[in-house]
Amino acid sequence: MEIGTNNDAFKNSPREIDAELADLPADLKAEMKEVSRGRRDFMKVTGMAAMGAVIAGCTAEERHVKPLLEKPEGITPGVVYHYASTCQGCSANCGTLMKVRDGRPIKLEGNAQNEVNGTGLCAAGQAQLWTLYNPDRLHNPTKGGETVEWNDLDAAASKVVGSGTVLLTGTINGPCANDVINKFKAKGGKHVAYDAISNYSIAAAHGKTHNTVEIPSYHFDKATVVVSFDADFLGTWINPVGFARDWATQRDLRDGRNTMSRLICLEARMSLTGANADERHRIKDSERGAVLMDLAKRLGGNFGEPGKHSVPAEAMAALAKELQNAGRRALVISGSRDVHEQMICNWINNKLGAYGTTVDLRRPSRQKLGNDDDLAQLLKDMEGGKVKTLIVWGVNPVYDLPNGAKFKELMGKVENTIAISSHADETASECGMIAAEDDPLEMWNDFEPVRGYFSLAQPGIRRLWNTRNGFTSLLKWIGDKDGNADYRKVLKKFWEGNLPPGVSWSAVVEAGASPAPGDPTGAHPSFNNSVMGDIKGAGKVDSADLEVVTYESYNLRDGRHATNGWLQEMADPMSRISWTNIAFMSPATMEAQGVGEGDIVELSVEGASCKVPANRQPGMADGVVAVSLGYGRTKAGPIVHGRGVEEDAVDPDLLEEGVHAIGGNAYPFIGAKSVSLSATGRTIRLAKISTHDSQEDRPILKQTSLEQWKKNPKSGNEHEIPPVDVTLWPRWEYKGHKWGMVVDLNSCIGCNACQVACSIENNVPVVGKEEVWYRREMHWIRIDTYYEDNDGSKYDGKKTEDVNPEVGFQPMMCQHCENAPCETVCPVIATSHSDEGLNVQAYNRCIGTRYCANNCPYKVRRFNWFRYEHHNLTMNLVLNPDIVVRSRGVMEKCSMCAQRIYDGKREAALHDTKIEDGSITPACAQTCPTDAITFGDQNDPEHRVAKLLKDPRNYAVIAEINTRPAVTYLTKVRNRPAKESELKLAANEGGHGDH
Amino acid sequence: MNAKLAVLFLLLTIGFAMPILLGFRAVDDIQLPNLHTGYQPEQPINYSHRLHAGVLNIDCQYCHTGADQGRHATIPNLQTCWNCHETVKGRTESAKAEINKLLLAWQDTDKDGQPDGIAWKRVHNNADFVYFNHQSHVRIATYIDDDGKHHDGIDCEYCHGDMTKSGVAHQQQNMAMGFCINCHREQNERHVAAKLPARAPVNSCDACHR
Repeated sequence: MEIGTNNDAFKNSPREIDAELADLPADLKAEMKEVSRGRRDFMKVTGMAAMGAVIAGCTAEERHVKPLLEKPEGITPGVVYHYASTCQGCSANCGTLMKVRDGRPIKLEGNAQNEVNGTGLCAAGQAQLWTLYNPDRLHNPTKGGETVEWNDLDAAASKVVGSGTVLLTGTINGPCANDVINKFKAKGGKHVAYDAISNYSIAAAHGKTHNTVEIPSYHFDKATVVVSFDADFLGTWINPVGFARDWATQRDLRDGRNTMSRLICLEARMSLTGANADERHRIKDSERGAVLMDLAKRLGGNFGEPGKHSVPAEAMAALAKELQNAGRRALVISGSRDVHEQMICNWINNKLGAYGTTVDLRRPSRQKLGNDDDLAQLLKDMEGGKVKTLIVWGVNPVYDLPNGAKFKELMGKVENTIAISSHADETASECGMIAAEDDPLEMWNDFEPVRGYFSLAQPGIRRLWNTRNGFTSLLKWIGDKDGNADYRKVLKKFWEGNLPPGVSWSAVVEAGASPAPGDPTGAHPSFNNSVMGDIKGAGKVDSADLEVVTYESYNLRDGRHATNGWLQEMADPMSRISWTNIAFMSPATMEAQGVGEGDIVELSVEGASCKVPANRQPGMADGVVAVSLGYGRTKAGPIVHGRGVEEDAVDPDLLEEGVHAIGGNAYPFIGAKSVSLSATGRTIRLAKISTHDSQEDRPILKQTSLEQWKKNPKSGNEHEIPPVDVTLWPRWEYKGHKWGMVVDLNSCIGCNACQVACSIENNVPVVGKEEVWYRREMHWIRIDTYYEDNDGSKYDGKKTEDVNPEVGFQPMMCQHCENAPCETVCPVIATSHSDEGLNVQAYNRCIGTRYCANNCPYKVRRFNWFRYEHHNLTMNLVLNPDIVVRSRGVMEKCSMCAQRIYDGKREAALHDTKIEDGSITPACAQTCPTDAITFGDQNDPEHRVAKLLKDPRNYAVIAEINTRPAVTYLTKVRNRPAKESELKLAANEGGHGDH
Repeated sequence: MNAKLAVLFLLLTIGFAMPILLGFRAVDDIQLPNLHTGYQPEQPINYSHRLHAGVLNIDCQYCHTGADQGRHATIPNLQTCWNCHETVKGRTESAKAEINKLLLAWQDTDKDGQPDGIAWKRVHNNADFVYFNHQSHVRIATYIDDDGKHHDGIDCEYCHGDMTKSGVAHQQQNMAMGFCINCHREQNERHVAAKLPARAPVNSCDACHR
């Protein structure tokens, strides 16, 4: 049911209303309130809509339309408006465009004008909408667990905030935000910032080697050779969307480009970056220092003897040579938390001349400003009783510090604890007072992701509950007069006073950011060689039998998205398992430990343990167990969706104790080296989106090497089995448009952003863990992860060659076949072919025989086994009114975002122009950070899609069955020497003997 | 054989008896809302389209401002009515009383202290699996009539009837799929014949069902 769309009463003017209200004449004020009223209106409107939902479709009972008293200027009901803002799904501060309709944001997209990310936005960033509408937030401020009025809370807080107060936050980098912090400090307060996923070692190392405690900016678009030591820059590291975009520009072989950068990964676990590497070595974390030291030694830096490590000497020599050849266009990065290892990285980059090209300290990143030293000092101060009042704002230290339990205990020693938080999370619920904070999509804020580049966040909706901007709270408590003003006014005043000449506030609000500062100039800070004497011990190998590796989760990130259904159901890109974190081990280690798939194991280090299911992960180093962070939240609340709380996703032992936690908390393992593993004897079924990871030697995901591709651009794509062109029906003629899509497998990094974008755009429900077991997940687009043996033969996970397999990702959605197998079997013609080349599905016509799904060779049709409407009506506000919400018993699938196609056509007709290339982008193509998906008109030679169809790399999946899909793929090209099997294939060109 | 016939007879009897057993629901009540031709609910204000659009010759889009901008034609805001009725107070007592309701809608408040506004009754209730866009039809479409003459936009009258002669709003057409698709097909053919394929209405399902 489309909620709210038919209600003209439901029109929240999205912004400015709050602020402007004060300036309005009294009669208009009442009217504007009517426009923008929060909670009550929602309940009223959703109530009304729910009534309509029951009625609509069966009877002609009365429905009401309540127009506004006065229409807000420039806003028409049912018309979409976009507002620029800044993403707060992680600390990268990507630029977003909020798609706002009838006063509510229904989609987040990357802002093409933004320097940080461009049009791309990751899965976590987009899924923030769930958190906005999830009613499981704080609705009111509380004191001692009781709901209080804001006045009462402010009075109590003002008394205790002042000198001796410590404010503990995450990274705060906005200029106005820091101005507020400075005002707080001026009153005698102290500010401590930390990042749950810390990159402080990079800053600290640069403090030593370059005398500046900063994280540099990295320019993957300038690098020809990237060597990554456990830095998952395509997945979660510092600024993943921007990094992926930059890196992909050097990997793109479309549109006449013919060079590729090289990516070499040395890592313990199998990361997304490792999966995309051209060359990959498995090293344990304990060996990393030695490998780095060895590499430095081969480049002429002798700081100590590297210990014995497992990377072959010839590989090390080749690596050093490759880096030397690349010179200043090389880039060596490390995700290590060890400052000495980071210093070796810096030395190597400096030796190669990379500073100033691929690494730059002149315009450093300000996305992670956390200071681990300050945090350690705070813990000491709390221990010593020096902290009178502690304000915890936007962070969750009880959950995400390695010694969280200790922090909880130390909070008891602090007289007054206040949380500024949108959720009663593990930390906030321990605090005496909670100042309920707005959702990031409800508040004004500012950021400085890169030095000199400032961006703004603005609200997309009037606040839903009785919450308040955290800055206002803080200003109020320190007695600043700005505390009484709306924070928008404070922000505006500050920015107007600091904007460069010629730039107006309104221009900045419109663009979402200040003008880009341009390339840095001047001399780069110089390298201080004298400190390198300190790192003698870094090359020592001190390995344990079973080492533990923790990493930031791809979906829940540092844990802040734990209540997010879209992200819980989004599978881990490597294993395609959803609804839990996993203790990943290599197949050999699994065997050595005597555990099998789904066995719940207890991992313990001194003082902490967690229970998670185990699973094999090909490509990991032996003797390593990898667990992702972000899971195991005990106070994240239930995940609201159609099927209720996921009891099955929760650990049964914990559930008995009344704790709802999905997965296990791995934060206590940060910094731990060895871990002990014991099987609990219980086994659970894993919610796998994909259960098979081998292509079984079929050319589904075609690939080749750069070397081969240069010799023959059709390489890897030669052995096509020509389809037998026999059909039951006459061939279609496409007189007008013929929509099509080309997916470049070379650019796809498997990040899942498209999947979440699709789910949000098309009202795809979250089905829950149990339904995923039954293969009833509803994603219209899935990413298939294929493992390939290193020798090119069939991957079976058993042979020795399998220990370091190659990985490929393939997005798979409805292929919109010209000869669609689904269409011919539908008894009611609910699915048919449009004259523009799309396979269309009329849901209201479908009777649910599922013949079509049965006959689909691509397994892309999804059946509604249940009614998946959200339990809570507030959640329904997230639904896209342009798409029907399918009900039980109906088959659904990718429509290539028909609503966007029609919007694009309407827009073109309105301006009497033809449909330009790129003017229509489906949600998946729009959000792809690496521009892997191209959509357009195959009949228009000017469209990129038409050109890519002629690319020798272009192929259709299982073309031999003559489905003639409108979605085609481009062969994946790896920048590594050709494998024997590939050479054999090339030699047999034209023959089909092998396959 | 007889037993089979008996069962069949029983089933048929039940089939026919069901509506009676369920209590004589009027056909109007169980049909889709969009088929409700002639539906003319009593509105909170006895507004006459004949007077405004007919006698006074006010353009439809003076009030229904959204019709050329997006999906909804939109019901006018109170301010739109007030533009004229701030001075036009009506001649007869009944007219005065109706016009005065505008003021009351502004002045009277609900329990939250917010103005009541006017809750009009929806006349056209399309099923929620149908996507209709007023802009496409009113502003973008080219209508080719029987004589081959091209018109910019489809007249409101085509679907809504001649409102200059109608009093309170009512549903003129049976808005079943046939009503839509017949016009789409006819216009599609005429557009192709007139060599205007780019503006031809779409006949595939996803034009309205998505």
